[in-house]
Amino acid sequence: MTGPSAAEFYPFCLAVIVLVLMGFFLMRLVCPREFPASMAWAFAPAVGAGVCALIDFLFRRPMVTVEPLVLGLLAAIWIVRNGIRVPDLKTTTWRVPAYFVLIGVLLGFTFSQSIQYVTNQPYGGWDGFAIWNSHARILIRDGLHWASHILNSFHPDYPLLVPLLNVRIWRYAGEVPDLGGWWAVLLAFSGVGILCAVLAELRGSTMAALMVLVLIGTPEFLTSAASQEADAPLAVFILAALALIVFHFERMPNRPGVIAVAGFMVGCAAWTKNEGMLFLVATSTILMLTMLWQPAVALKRLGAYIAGLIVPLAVVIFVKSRIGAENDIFAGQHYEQIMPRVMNLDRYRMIADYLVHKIWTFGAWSFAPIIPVLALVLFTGIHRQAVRTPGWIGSVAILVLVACGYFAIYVITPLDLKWHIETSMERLLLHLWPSALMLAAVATRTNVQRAV
Amino acid sequence: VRSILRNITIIIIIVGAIWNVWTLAAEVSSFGPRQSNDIVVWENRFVKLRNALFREKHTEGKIGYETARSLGGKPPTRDDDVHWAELRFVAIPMLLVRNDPDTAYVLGDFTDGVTPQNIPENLIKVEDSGDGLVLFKRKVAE
Repeated sequence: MTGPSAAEFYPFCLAVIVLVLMGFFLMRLVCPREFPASMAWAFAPAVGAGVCALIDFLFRRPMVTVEPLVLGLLAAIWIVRNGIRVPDLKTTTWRVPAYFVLIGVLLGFTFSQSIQYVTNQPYGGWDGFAIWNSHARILIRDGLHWASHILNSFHPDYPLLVPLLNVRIWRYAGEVPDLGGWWAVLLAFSGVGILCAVLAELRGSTMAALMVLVLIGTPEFLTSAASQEADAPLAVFILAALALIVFHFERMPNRPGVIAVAGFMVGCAAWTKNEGMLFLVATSTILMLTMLWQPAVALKRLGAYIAGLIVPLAVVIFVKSRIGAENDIFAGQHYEQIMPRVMNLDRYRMIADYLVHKIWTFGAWSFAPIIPVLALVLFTGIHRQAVRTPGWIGSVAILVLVACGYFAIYVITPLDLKWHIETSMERLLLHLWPSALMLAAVATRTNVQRAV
Repeated sequence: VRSILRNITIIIIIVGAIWNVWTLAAEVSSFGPRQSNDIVVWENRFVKLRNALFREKHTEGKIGYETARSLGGKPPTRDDDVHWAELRFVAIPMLLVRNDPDTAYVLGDFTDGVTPQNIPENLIKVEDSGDGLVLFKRKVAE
């Protein structure tokens, strides 16, 4: 068994190009005209992934029918709205700061290492093959019986976005295991792109470059992606949603289109892992709370958010009700079983002890960058206006709520607590890490503001 | 002073990131070659057996899973559990089951080198991977 051949590589590229273009056109059409093109490109893979997973779920084999149709339609609407403009390359500045070369080298190196990881472990790590690739195989090999057969797999209650994207790639290029891994790596790097684009736009290229370095210098983020687990995609969707919320409140508070895409990203998070449902609840709660400030604008915003969220959420609910699988944490749990755990202070102490330890190690770092990042924020100076926007405060509150939710799950888990923590806490922290970096950087002042 | 401290912090972040990227490279280089990956090994072993199942027109449904230990009535070891989980993935869309005496076909996993002394007479060998994986057809009692 070898890696992909050229005959499999080109259809894979086509699958990725179609997905990215769909995401790009959708971003341009839903977001206001002033929304930066660089950000539209950065968010395109994540948005396209959500759209393609939806199409693949609804139509099963849409590669030569629905996908080209939707792409053509989106492209046509975009061209009618904007016309075709060739960028003026003469006025484009090609000079880049020297440290960008270093970042480019490190990006290239980490990307090649991630691909090498996939080459050596083409079916992914334990969760990669036992859960996510198993579900993908059942979806592609089991025809219409998938919903009943998936019950025989590990964790049949897990959402299907990640397996569906692998199935889509395989339908384009053949069932070559590496291709699912390559796609997972690309999606993780699109998260790096999102972090870079939103910070470059809001806080300048230096801060963007530094946070990109910290994220690609988090080995666990890249190995989790290359292992074909769903934690890196979930982290990307959480980052995408929060980045759009922060950008909306700071730059375009009266343009709800951005929030509609954020809602779609939240729905995609819920469709990626069960933990995404917790993120959905936290985000919806916080966005509803913003109605207390400006009810009229907030109502419009909430409408846009729900419009983006509704389709992926409907699919999640449909799939969960169709499969009818029980969750290993909540199945058969009653008040009498949960209450003794809730009242047991030793459990809280144990979770807190692990958290204090894992916060320094979850990234599988040789050098934990948490204190340097905090020091950077401190020495750069706090952007007082930015940290008072509902976008920044709300996003921090969302992350805190999700973290509290994770803590509460540990408290009530019927599984052996030590085993549960040791097998999952690092992944849970990883979900929040790219967003925490983004929020830390957004809290700082730009060079211009420092000069003033 | 603040500006100097900021620049020092930036240098620390850059050096730390390079160090961490090196850690990633070290982890990747610690993997064995692709051909030694557990699932790749199972996939290669299973190819002949899957073709045999297709020839027998058994393309979905259950397949039993037995080891030398299970045939001897002994409980599975941790390795048996790992093999079973990995083979479950490899066998999709067929469903690999343990302790089910009604399956038409049975996969014998003798890859740990333990030669079974007591293969039941109603298990007829259909295909052998040559390196420990054997496909049996269960003869139905008349």
